[in-house]
Amino acid sequence: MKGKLVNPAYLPPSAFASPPPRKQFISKVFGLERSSSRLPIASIKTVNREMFALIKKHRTGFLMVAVLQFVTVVCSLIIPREFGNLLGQLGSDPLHVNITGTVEIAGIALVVQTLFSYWTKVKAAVLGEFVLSSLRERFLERVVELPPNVVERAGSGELLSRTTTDIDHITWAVRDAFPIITICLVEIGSILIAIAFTAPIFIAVVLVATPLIAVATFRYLRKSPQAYRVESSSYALMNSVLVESAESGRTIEALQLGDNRIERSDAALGRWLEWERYTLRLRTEWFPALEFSFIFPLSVVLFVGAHYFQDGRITIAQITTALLYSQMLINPLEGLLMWVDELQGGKASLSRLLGVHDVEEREIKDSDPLGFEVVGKDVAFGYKKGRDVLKGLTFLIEPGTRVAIVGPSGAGKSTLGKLLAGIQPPTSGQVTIGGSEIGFLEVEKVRSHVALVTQEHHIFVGTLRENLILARPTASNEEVWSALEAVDADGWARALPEGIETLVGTGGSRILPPQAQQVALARLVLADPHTLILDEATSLLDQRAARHLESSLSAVLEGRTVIAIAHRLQTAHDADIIAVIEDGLITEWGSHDELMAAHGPYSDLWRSWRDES
Amino acid sequence: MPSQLRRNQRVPITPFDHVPFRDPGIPSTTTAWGLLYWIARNQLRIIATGSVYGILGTICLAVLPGLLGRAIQAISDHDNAALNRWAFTIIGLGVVQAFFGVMRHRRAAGSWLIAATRLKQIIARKASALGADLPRLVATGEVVSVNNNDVERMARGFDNIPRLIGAVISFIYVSILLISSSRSIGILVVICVPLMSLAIAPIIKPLQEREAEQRRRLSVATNLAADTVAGLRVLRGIGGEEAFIARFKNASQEVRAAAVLTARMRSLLQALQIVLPGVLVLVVIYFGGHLVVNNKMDIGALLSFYGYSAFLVLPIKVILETAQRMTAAYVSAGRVIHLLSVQPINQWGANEQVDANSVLRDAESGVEIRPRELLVVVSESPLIADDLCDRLGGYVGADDVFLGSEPLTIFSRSAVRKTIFVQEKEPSILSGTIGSIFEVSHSGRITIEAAMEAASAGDILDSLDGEGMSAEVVERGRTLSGGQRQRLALARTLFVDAPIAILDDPTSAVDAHTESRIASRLGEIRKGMTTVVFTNSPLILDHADRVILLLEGKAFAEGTHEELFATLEIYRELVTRGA
Repeated sequence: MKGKLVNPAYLPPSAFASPPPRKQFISKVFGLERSSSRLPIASIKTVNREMFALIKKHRTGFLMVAVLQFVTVVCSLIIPREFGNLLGQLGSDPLHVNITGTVEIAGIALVVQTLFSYWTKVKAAVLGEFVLSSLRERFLERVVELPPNVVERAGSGELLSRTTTDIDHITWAVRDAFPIITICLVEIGSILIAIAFTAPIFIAVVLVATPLIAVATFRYLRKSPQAYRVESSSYALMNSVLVESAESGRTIEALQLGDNRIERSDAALGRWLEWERYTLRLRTEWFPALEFSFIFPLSVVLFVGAHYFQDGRITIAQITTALLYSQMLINPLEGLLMWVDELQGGKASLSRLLGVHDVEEREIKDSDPLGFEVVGKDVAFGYKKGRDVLKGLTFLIEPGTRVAIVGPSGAGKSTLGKLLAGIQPPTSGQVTIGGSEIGFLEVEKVRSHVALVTQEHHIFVGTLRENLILARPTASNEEVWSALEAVDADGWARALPEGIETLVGTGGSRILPPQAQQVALARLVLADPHTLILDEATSLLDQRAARHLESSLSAVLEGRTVIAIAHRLQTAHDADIIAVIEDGLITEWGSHDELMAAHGPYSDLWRSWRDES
Repeated sequence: MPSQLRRNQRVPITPFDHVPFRDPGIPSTTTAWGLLYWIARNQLRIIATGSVYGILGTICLAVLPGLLGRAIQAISDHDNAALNRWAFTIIGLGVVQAFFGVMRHRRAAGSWLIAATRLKQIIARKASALGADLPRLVATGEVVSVNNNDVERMARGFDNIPRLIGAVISFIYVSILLISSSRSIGILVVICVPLMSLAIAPIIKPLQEREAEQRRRLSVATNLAADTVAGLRVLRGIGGEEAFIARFKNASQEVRAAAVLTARMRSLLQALQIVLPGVLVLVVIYFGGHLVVNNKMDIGALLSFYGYSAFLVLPIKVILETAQRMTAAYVSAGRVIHLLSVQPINQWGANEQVDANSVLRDAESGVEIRPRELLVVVSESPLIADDLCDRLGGYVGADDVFLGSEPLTIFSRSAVRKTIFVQEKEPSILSGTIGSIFEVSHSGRITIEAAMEAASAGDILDSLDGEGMSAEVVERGRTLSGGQRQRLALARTLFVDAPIAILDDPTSAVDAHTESRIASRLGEIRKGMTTVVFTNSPLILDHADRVILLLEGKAFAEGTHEELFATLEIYRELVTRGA
């Protein structure tokens, strides 16, 4: 019956495999480094290095926490010591004991300990929160720089899971683990010193269980980091199944795939649980060794203590104190090991966060474009080696020209759009604007020259105004309104409850898809680059609205170079130059009238589109 | 690499081997406590066995101070035999303790995993049941956050129960032990410990409020980050990353400020947990010391008392922690219930008998669809066309749409879905292989190849590196171009071969040649079935049996394409392409 619940048929092809049988290592095959379709995951080495760098960067903070904790621990050690002494005196000379004095000293120690403990914890939290906030901010900064093809392949679910679940996991790891580990280490050190002061022999005794702890922990840590990494990846997988079900509910219902989705989600859950089982097994081998190691030294203290007591080399007070100290060791030791364990989960998430830094950086060849002309020289591009989507395109677009790119679906038009916008450099050949290779410029510099609007639209959470001024944060309200007018959107924008100050996006006023396309174009008007690439940017508007929008837009964009990719040949008709792309090559180049006269592919397409054939 | 998918031969025996469930059951969703109780009742056994281990483990810890006291007494009395006895008992206790400890941990882990799995399965089933209504009624982010954070918090409420019960029992045990060995100190300790818990209790509520505020701000930051990720492609084209990073940093710093406030409160709680038991220990030392001086107690007993009063901190901690977790679980249970009680938009009937050969009629627009025709609806507004598509498919306002003389709502939902298939404007391609796109219920009349051919989608297979049908499609088909996605979706629709197929602008993203090919094959492959296409494309209109012109949401005129083209100026304007 077991295992049947996870039917691999319902898992996506790139899902993670089951955990390995006992005694086997989780090798790389288990999906960790399958970065071809996923975002990279930072190696354990990188994570360790980054963690060390974090500690180093905040060393004063950590030192402060350590010093405060030291004072706290010293105070906490005074009580058992005083008690041990009292017990010793009660045993030897019960009539001359100063109980009140003992209680007073212990009382003062308790108050100081309490105050310092509060101070330590607050300091540690402030430090932890600071480290955490800089970690998540750096992550997002990197995410927005990621090459788009990497993000597309990984899928938004994967990235979303890193931005939500993984940051969540790291939150407690960083906030609690780092400070608590520091605190525990100081506590253990101080207690050991205190034991040494009580009676040096007990140091050896207390450490008797160390080899057992070391071996068990080593065995555990050899397997657990990878296991936790796959576990959190399989958790992310489970999430993406749900995200897909939630977003594609309509398609799922229409195709009656409800049961299939349930099976998929159960399969993903099952795979996650398999990994949970595996990590539980690892802990099952580790925990008992630890727990035993905590209690075992107590009896050794008793045996050795009794031996030395008989020789008169040690007092009951010393044995008692040592016994109490050994017991006090249990808490920080347990805390230390538990947090080292918890840190594994955090480290798994951290390696996923830091993984984004492993994505290859864009190559930058900085130069300043001189002039506005767009030139392509033997431009070729393929998403995979040996399969070029674009197969050597050469063209020159004069500044201020309106170009339409037409051709069959899948011919490479959108790919060309991305190359022209500098989002990716071509695999061979050059795309230049004003003589500079646009694919190798700094992102900000590219933007000041060329902008791209595709059929993908997104309304961000915020006001409509905030949505519009993305590319020009200094735009005045008047400019915002005239941009809306340029895209025929001022009508509905005025009708919104609070005009451009209305909250839109998830949870705000609903913006319909065609309106979202208008917003995207209005952004473009405000950004005002000299070259604009429009990839099916009006496809969701109806024909008449699109045409009206295009004409009012072109009035505003007078003098700009506009390169439009469109299936509506109306756009081509109105353009100065039409480029026909078929199977990765430019097969025709010229104005509407020229191409119609040539009776080539364009005129065929035009007649077909007009339903004249 | 097929070896990766090889089943694991050796699954370890864990307390949660039986999950995921085949049937997670139907929960009670009336109250938050009711849901928590329902979950607990369904995994009573694991909670009970876990509690037993918890009790046994805690008792081991509870008897330790007593054993240590006896052993010290034995050393003090030079009684070697007694010392050996007690010291070996302590070793034995260590072994037993370790065993109980790990067993309790396994039960606790199992308990939370079982609860989490059950809830996640229930949520997945709810999502599936809501289907098309889900994205309309609940934001995706909300579903994900309930499925992760709230489910986790609810499940964590259960993993503490064994410890709680262990703590309560051991508290009672130690109390009895204390009172029986020294009535005065025993009673003092037993009264003080609950009082101390009560003294700490008032802090818990403000602490939770601060934690809630911190979580609220964190979710603001998270939503902002998720939103940025979702709009990454837009940002990439036009810029504005800096503005978003700045907004995120702001939110992130607000989280930090809130977290520091929470930490102060939590540190105060922890400080109280040090000072209050500390005072108790001092009191025990003071009175106990005097009792020893007056020979009313021996040294070993005093050590045990010291140990016990220190030990009693543990149950207090566990009780407080459980109180915190249960409150969090309660709040989250409320959010889970909220999601589980979302009601579908339409109330469906039970009638399974649908006659696909009757007229489908939308009362609001007056549009009538006759059996086995290829009808094209021309509209001046895509938005109005979308609305009509939704209604005809019974996604909204299904009681105003009639099949024959019956409103759609008297039929069962699945019967309607089997009969009427609506391909929405931007249909989703679900992740999987290309082949898995066609793993849907279908009539069997049309082959995948025929459907691909009719949708002019054959070339897509060629562009996939020879992987063909086994090529992987990523989430939402993002590695495919818009035209490729649209043609695959159309092929899927044709393959399903529903008696009534309604297509919303199915050729908007393809070029004229492809559109023309699709138009000419559509009639053939849909022969004998009812097909409605919403489009203004003359290429498709050419092949229509009948055309309806929709103006301002009403059927304004109907006829053949030629008739309408010849007689109506507005129609000509709408369907004529080019100047």
